[in-house]
Amino acid sequence: MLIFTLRRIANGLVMLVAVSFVAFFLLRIGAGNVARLILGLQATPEQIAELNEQLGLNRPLIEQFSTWLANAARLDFGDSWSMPETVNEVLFPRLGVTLTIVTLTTIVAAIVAIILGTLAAIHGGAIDRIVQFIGLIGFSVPGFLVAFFLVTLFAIQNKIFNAVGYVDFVDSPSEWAKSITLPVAALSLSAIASVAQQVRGSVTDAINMDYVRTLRARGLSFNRVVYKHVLRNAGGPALSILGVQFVGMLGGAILIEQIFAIPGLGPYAVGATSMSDIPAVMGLVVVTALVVIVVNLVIDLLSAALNPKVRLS
Amino acid sequence: MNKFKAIAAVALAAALAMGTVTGAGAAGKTLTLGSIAKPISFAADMAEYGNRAWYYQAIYDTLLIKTEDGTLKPSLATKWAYNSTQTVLTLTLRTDVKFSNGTALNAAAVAKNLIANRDGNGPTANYLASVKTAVAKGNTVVLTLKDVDPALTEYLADSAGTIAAPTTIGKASAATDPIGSGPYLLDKAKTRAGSKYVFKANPNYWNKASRKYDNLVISVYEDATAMSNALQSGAVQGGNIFPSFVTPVQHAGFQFAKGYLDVKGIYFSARKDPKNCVSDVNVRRAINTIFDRAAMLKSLDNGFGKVTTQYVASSSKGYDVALNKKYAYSVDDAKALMAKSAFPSGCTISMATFTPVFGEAGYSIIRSQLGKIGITVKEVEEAGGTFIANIMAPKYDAYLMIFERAGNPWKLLNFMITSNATFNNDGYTEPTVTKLIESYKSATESKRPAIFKAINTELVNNAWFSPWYEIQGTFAYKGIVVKAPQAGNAIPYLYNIK
Repeated sequence: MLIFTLRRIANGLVMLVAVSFVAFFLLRIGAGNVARLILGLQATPEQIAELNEQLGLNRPLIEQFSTWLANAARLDFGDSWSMPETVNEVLFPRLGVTLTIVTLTTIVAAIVAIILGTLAAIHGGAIDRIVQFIGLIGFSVPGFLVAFFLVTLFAIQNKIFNAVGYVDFVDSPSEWAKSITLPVAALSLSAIASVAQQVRGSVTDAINMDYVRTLRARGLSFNRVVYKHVLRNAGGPALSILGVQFVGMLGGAILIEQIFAIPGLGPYAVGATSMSDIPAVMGLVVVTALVVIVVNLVIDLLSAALNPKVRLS
Repeated sequence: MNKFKAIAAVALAAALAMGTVTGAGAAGKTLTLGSIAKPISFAADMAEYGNRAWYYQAIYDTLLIKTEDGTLKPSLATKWAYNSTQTVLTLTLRTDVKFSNGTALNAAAVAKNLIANRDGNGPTANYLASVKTAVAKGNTVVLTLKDVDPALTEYLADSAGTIAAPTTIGKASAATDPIGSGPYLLDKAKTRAGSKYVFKANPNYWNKASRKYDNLVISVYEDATAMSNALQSGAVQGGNIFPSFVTPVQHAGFQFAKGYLDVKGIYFSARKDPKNCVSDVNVRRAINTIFDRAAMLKSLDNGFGKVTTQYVASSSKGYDVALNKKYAYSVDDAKALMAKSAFPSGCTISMATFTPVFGEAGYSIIRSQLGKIGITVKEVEEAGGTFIANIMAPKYDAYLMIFERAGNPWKLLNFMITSNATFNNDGYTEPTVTKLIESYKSATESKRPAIFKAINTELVNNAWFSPWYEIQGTFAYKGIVVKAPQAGNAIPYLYNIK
């Protein structure tokens, strides 16, 4: 297990450098005239040239990348080109907000999906059809439409939740709950649809296995068999899907955070990209890649813990 | 399960109770505004108005201020006067102003700021290019100019006149720890960079009577839907919205200050080369005549705007409503103009396109309408990072663009019309226009509007551009007073919001 974990971390680091390298060169090639974007239409050619010099954009690309990499290795992503703060000062608080939303969404999706998927698999019939219908809606309705609907109904027409903004839990738990409910709900729907279908399929397969019949023959109640044995066996595939969903939601959160004006990575990514703020975008790339690597590692370890048959080699 | 329910209920009750305690707002009245832009820096020499004006007007004073219609009023400078040749400007300063760090504002501090703003690498630098020296003399600052600059006093009421505590000038820390003499102080503890900027009252502010709110919160909504939702839900009292959101926001009880700052149309960059057909005035007139501006406004921008044939803004004293009758839509007239030109059998023009911003529909209309008069459009799609640079190069004969018009005529002339204007990409001139610009420069303030109108007439008659329509800018507000849109700016100035 330890060797497996160390190997995965080493692979992750190599991947991180490779992703950074590709991202840096793509960004620099496509960035256009960064100084013009920063200084605006009124800027003179002399001002543009001076700012390009200040930002180090006149240096060879490989030299720019090695300087960036040396700093990034110390988790110092430098000064932002589109905001007065350093990239770190903006990036890490925003990472916390996005991870809060995505983690909460994953938890909500997991709980609801396991309940719906299990009920559908066990009872079949009308309940199964309802779960299938929910799945269809979740797959076909885009998250931003769900967001519009929720905001209109629960924040504008009925001022139950906040339409925009984010409040830290430590500042006000109730306001935090009001600010986070609608974004989490909007993000959850497609994840619930996806995971519920997976759980339904896995539970259906597990219920028909020989060991279930054996356990039932030994006198164990159906509920005990389901909750103690079937779900544990069906949990592996669901966990994998949840991991994929978590990573996918990092992307999905960009749109949802924009609509709800949540100060997460989404609006930061959009703003930094439109301003060709390369240090900020590079920080975002590295941090997002890190999260993906860590999530995949955690999912693998959890799968092994759930099911000892899973080989980690 | 029951145990879980009990724990959840207790947690919820605790959360609500804590919210009641910690959710209490700051004391006093709070003005909440929504902005579509966040500040790039809080340093005075990086001050930028337009959509970012509030951030700087909260922290800093300017030497002069402007009413909604652009009339100059005293601020840090109580009096200002030019010499007879308009090359020396003397500003008399207030004596009761202190920066928020406790140091007094004096003439030396103002002179140092103006030179720093001129020599810095921010958006203000260009506006002070005409200033040769700034010298403190007692309670006055004397600005000696390299040349007459009819817009200078207006610049001093905008970002170029931003005055910071001298100790912060040139310091990197000014980007995040600004020290000014303005009505508010940046509350860094409550500010969330990039999304919410919180300001508290400056206790030493010299003009407390003009400050109507004790606290100011500016929330950033870069997404148009988020801004609309923020207004409708009551999260903010004012903000700029897309015209398409007017109806739902109006239903939420908001009023609107409608301005027409931007103009959309085709602009030319190859008017000097006789081999190129846009150098021919009749071709340019034909291009002006072939577009049905009213129909385009309706189809491209849902009718939110005003058709125009003039680059000059309808709020300007140089605007002449009669000029809008010129170039009435007519395919026959456009064909006749082409027949009169040096290119009777048509020609090809190159055009930069940028569909992510301008959409495909506009280019499709251009292609189709110009095709009717024998003009073939050779389109090249530009990337976001290269579009501006390549139209300025100039790499193309023409481009579709939305330009924001300056409120001050001299600023506008230097942005678009003079031979070395920022967006006179081909350096195009005409003797009459050049002469009029020279006379505008040396004229007294009272004579300038008539000269500006004459310049505008020349521009329209000789089809320097092909403007289509002015786009409506809409500032929605509720629970606050906004008398009128701010002339020459996208948002009302902070000190004009009551």
